[in-house]
Amino acid sequence: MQQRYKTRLLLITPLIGFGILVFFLAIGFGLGKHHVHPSAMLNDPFPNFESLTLLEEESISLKDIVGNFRLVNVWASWCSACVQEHELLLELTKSGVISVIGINYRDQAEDAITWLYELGNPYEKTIVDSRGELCVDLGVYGAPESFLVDPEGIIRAKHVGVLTRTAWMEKFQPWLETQQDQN
Amino acid sequence: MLLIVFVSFTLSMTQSIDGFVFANEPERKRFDRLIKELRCPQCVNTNLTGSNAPIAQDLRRTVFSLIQDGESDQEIRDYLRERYGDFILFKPRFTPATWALWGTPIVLLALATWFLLGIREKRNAITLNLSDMQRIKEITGGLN
Repeated sequence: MQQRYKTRLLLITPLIGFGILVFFLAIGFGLGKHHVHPSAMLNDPFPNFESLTLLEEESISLKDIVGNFRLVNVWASWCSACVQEHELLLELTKSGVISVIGINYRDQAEDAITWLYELGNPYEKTIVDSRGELCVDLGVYGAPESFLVDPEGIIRAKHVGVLTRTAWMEKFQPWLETQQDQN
Repeated sequence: MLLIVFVSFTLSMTQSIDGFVFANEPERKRFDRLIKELRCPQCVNTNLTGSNAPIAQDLRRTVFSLIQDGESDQEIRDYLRERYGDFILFKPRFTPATWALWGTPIVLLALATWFLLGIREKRNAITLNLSDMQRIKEITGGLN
């Protein structure tokens, strides 16, 4: 009787192992993409930088962007997905919802200027980052990517990929609303 | 002539594909080791060595300049982890989220050892019993 019970247990062992495997795989696949792009840099201060602006070729550094809520948007003329969020950025700027600062990532100045000329310029200022140094400091994966920086210069929200209306409403807009409540 | 050959040889020894020039061979080796264990954030499963994505190029340059600044290996890993999260490390840290990952092999090894030792003990017990039987037979003269 005892022996029989043992054999049975031995036979279902692989099944138990498989069950455990399925359990962990289910968790792993269920986690979704947000785990791959973790929320690193959130609530961290925006890194210090020294660069030039794209159009005016004036020097720009961290102190020029603190003091106000800013939407910092990483873009490039070679980035095809950037076109998809362009309309939303233009809308945000035109309606005065937020000041948008661009980071021109690994681009040729000439191409970038032509791009802005053709599609419209939503950026109050564009920081030139031709070698991607500021972007590495910001933990950027690639263009497009957007950050919400509060008046103290702290990164409050981050979106990897095309900034959609939904992403703006869910991740970015709430921060502006809390600020309005305080005033 | 010999000098030129020698100089070009040493240059090729300390330069990498990206054109980074290293002060010495150990430094180049350190660089190679670091970019091998760091994952390209944009790629599915490639390290910084094997990727030509813009971000991988930037990160290789970052690793290089951090080495030049005299940062330790751990400081370089931490610098990138702070910005890109644990995803960038091919060798995960030991945190509450990863203890199962690190602990499972040890636990399995312990269980397997315990199991194997158990089997051996049982076998010993059986052989002992057989030799006991033999002795009993000898003593009793095989009467039973």
